[in-house]
Amino acid sequence: MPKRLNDEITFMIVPHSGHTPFSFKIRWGVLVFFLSVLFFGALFVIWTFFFALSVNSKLSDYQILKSQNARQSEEIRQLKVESEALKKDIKRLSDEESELRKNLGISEPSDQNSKAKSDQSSSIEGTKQNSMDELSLLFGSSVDPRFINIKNDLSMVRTQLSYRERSFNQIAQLAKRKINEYASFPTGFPADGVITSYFGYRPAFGDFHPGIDVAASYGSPIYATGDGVVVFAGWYLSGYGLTVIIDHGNGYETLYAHDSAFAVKVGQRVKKDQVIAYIGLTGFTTGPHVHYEVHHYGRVINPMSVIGANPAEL
Amino acid sequence: MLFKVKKGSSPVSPDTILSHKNEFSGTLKGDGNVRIDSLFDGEITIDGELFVGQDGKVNANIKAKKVSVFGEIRGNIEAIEGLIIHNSGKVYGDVKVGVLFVDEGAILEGKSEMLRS
Repeated sequence: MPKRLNDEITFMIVPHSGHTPFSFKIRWGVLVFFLSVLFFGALFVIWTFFFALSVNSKLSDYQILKSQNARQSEEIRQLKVESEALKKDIKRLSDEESELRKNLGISEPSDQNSKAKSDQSSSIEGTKQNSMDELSLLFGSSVDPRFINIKNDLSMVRTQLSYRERSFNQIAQLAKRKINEYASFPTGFPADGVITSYFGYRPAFGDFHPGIDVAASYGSPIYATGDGVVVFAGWYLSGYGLTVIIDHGNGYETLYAHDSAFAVKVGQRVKKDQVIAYIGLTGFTTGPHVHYEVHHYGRVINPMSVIGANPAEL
Repeated sequence: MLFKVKKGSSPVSPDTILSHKNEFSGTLKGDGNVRIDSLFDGEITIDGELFVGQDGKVNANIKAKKVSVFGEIRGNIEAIEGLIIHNSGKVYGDVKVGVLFVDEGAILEGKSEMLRS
């Protein structure tokens, strides 16, 4: 190696072809400089090559991630749509449930339920917080808010579902009881026939008619209009003739007069629409019909106000 | 060997070069390979190879293991291994050689004798 970079050396190019050789001189410093440039240039080229390779692989990774991200976004969107649909379904079910409660005459959520409701709302807040913490732990602070929304939606759906399930079970139990209870309300029609006289003051007769008359052919069946117990079956008062009286509970009694014969005995339990007697002409009548009365706590009421009525509204 | 010659190059590197910018006269002796690109007057006796470039003009009797000529030689040559006169080469003199190769366009004027016979 030279002592000083300022020292000069000579390069001679000697063509083996016989052409004239030529020579040139150069400072060691310049040579070292050029060699360094060549060396580092080569290094740079090699480094660039490998860098390009790694960038290329990173790019392909990026492409993969990008397509994955797009797919996941689509999945998130679908999840969101589904959770929206679920929420809508639950809302609908909930509406149907309160409709059902109203029809069945079951009060809106009892104490227990309202407690559940408040629990539910507070638990939603809780899960929101929880899922946020959970996801933050998993992914650091940069959590896609869509995930949180969906997680919240889903936990809300879950909570509401379990709440609805409990509520429906309660309704089902109550409904069973109510169905039995309602069957005892005298909402049925006493015979297959035509109404020939309504409840109230009758100018033609100049009297007050305490029931309705349903005309049908002689001997056709008379039905109990609700579940109950036969409390009377016999000759009743002057004008009624053979009469059946059924006690339905809840203050309701029904009376079927002018019968030709009985199908039940006193003390017998009868179901709604069970045949209890047959149409006849006993008592004061102008033709075969059943005179039907409804008593509520001892007072006659218009049978038309209970026939076909919703027991829940009585 | 001929194949290599056809490629027009010398297989060995010269140990000594007489540049075309100078002229030489006298006796050249040695073991190494010599390349002459200059005017040379005198006598050459070497154990190595003599290479005469296209600028070389040699007026000398030569003894060498091998001689390659792109330029001009005036004098007798004794080359034990061979004499190669390339397309631009000119040799005026008698030659004693082991192998003789004269390329197309080259000039050889003189008697030739093969050392092997």
